[in-house]
Amino acid sequence: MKKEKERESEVTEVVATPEYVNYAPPTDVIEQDKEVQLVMDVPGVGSEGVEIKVENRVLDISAVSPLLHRGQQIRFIRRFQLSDEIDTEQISARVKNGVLSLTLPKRPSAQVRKIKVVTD
Amino acid sequence: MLARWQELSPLHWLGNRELPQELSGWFDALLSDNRRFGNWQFNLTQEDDRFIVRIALPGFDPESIEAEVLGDFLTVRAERRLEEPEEGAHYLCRERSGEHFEETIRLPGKVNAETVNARYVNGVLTITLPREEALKPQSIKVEAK
Repeated sequence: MKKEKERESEVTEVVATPEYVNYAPPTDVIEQDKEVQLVMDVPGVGSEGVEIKVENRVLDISAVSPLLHRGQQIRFIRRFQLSDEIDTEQISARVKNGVLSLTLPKRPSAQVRKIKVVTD
Repeated sequence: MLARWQELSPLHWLGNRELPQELSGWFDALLSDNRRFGNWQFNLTQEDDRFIVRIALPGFDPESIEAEVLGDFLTVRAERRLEEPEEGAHYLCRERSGEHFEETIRLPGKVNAETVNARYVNGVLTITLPREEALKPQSIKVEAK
């Protein structure tokens, strides 16, 4: 009898998936000659919590923080449309002290080339 | 170059000394007997033997963080430097602001300043303030005749 009861409780046990509340983090976007930088405030986020995807030239950034809003974890999300000028294969990212920085290199053809002007 | 897509409204950051709307009731809440108040960026939790203050301070300089306890007031200060664009660089979008953080809050009770503990991890400052012994809730035995 006892064993059957134990099995029952095993079967009915349900693992709950965590509920997140989505939040758009403040983001700075800085364009330079060779690359574009994204800097985002994501307090509480360490490197394990970050997910970056590029699909159909859409950059999808998602980072989960242990900070709670009304009992739900904060999920920072932001999406950007990328032009052809960005070399998506070379995108790199780092996170430090709750700030996520992405570097989006431009393709060589898109980089600003300074032209030297000579006079006679 | 980079086009915005599915934008949500920008966040008003705490660091520039203006309290966002959601915090305007914060100091009123301090006067009432709530066990937990604030918001996800700046809150205080009250437990039987301690208070825990949690402040989101992304990108701040750990060396610059100061926390002071005087009586039942806690003051926190911190600094950060936002990037200076190099030559030839320009901002397409600038939403992050606030380089100086300073807030003083009144704790709901007296704390033992000697045993206050502060940690800054992944941009979140967590301050644990053990309550003074004498002020923990004391059970009172009720005699009935």
